[in-house]
Amino acid sequence: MKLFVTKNLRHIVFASLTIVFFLVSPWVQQQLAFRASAVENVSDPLPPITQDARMYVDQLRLLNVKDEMYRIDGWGFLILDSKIAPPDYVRTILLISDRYVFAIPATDIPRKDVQPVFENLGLNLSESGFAGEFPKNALPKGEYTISLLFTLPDGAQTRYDSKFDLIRTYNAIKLVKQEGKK
Amino acid sequence: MIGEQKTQSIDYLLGGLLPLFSVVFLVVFTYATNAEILTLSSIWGILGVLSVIAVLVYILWALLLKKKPYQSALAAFLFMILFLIYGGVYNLLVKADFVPIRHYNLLVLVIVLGRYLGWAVSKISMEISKKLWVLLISLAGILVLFNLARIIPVEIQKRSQLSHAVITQTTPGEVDTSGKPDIYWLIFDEFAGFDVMRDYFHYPEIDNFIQDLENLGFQVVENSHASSYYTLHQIATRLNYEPLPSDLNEVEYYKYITENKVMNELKSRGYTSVVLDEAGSAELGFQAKPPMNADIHLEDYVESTDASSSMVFGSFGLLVARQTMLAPLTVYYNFENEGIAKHRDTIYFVSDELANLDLPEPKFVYSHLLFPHMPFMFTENGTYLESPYHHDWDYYLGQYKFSVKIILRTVRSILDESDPQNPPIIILQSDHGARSLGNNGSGQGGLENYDKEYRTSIMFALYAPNCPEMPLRDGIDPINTFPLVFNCLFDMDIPYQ
Repeated sequence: MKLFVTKNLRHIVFASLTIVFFLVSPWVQQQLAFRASAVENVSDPLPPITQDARMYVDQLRLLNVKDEMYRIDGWGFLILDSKIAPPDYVRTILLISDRYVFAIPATDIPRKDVQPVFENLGLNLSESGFAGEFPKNALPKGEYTISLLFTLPDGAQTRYDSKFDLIRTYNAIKLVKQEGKK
Repeated sequence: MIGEQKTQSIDYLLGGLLPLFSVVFLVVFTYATNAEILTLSSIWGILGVLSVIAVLVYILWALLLKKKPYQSALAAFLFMILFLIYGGVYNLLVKADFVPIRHYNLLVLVIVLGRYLGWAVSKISMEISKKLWVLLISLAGILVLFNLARIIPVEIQKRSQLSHAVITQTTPGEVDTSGKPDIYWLIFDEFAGFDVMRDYFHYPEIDNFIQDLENLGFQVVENSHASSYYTLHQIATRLNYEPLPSDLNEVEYYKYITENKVMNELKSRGYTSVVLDEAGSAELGFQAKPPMNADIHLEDYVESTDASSSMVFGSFGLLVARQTMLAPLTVYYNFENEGIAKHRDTIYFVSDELANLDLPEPKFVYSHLLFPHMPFMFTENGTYLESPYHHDWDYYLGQYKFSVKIILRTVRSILDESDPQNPPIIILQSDHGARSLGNNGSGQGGLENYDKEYRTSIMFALYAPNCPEMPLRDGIDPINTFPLVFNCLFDMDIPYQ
């Protein structure tokens, strides 16, 4: 055995390095992709959850095959007495798991279809749509609740959890509606 | 000395046959499995590329293992086996999801494995390696011959059909065509029946579509089921209004479609036949399908906005390449873009231009769009989806909703351009319903808990304002499509089934 190891040490080291590369390189790629992306790791305590908001996640869509860039589309807004509505405040998409909280900058998207549904609220919801982009490889494995962080003009923050999860496995990513929630 | 060198040269030449045969086997086997729907010309591009790779791999091994031609052949053969099954292994591992799998880490592992397999083979003696070479080349040869034996009869059958598909021209002026309306038969492939949309897809808005059609003057049939969920069988059955067996091979159906009762009847009555048949397209359909015996083929009228002609491999080449180490390159190469662009332009051609064409009247227009059939490339608003979604049934509903818009646009444009005194007959149908056929090698499956009966549930709506007595009823078999039309227009007496 010892003779075999001594005789083939070069090959054993090479084969071992290959296996290490196989197992470790995706983790390195995840770290690099995370740093290169607009996704931020949130270390501060999360603001309180509000019930005075509505949101929905329409889809998770692959934007670019080569870079595996994904985009989350949906709509969401706060119900405030002041009647302010997007884009009067800033929205950020939060992905919350047991281990991580990630923030993805959201852009405002016009949504003509949302306004008629919430006519009774008296809000201008024409810009209530949102979209956020992120590279698939930047997210580590985990189950993330998709949430919206609202930052008001006075700096106050609140958040609202959607009924949707983003599930990232080793090789796939998918949007799922949480069981039992409408 | 010279004799020895000559023997060694022959050994090297013979040795190279083994990795080459592995490539030939894969290509021939894949072609034989799809021979009824492909044309022989589709194999040369991918066969050439893979053969060059096999030769290069063999030369590399021959340089590494000096004066060991048969060991080099075995090492190259093993490496080529890894090369050729790489794509399948990658898909399996990605689906299994045990560890992170990326092309860059799996490729390195497989290449190193190939290197060590070759190294192990180099330890085998010359005599044993030669025997192994003989055994493997015989086996590969037998497998290639076996698959050639599968291909040859199909090719003979296809060629004989192609030679029979002579395009005949109508002779205008021989029959009285005055007052005869244009007939549009518009097939939307894989368009699910209305009941399936309500019950399975929970899309009650389908009733708005039905309402729109009825407002336009269509009679809409509920619960119509095709007798099978196979396109060629359904088209052949309806074009000949006779129940054909559903287990014929593709080539048999081609015969029934190329020469069919419906178009012959209409030609005898002075109609010009106009065909746009995506089911026979080289990129997405049955490329071996001979053209129908029509006066005008509209494929030439469709102007594709993507003028690139970089299809070295074509759809068959792509199918093979995805099974190999070329799989990672397929996202960079413009393999399928041309086919997809042409498909998109064909859909818009039907919705926006078909009605405006200046064609001889009366005409029978048969348009068969592979839509909302795969590729699922549209969202419900008509924006394009990336290719990884094209075979993912989660995106069927979005494409279906967009196809509803396209259908309404098509029929509105036909009605806008038609003569109110002599309105056309428009038949809207799907060949079969949504079949939920998944797992095409992309690792994506079909729909969950999808009832088999849903597969045959079709759309059937008919616009025939001058045929108020047409016995169209819910649940009618679509085999009666043309008997219904002909009995009304030409006072024929074709029995219903």
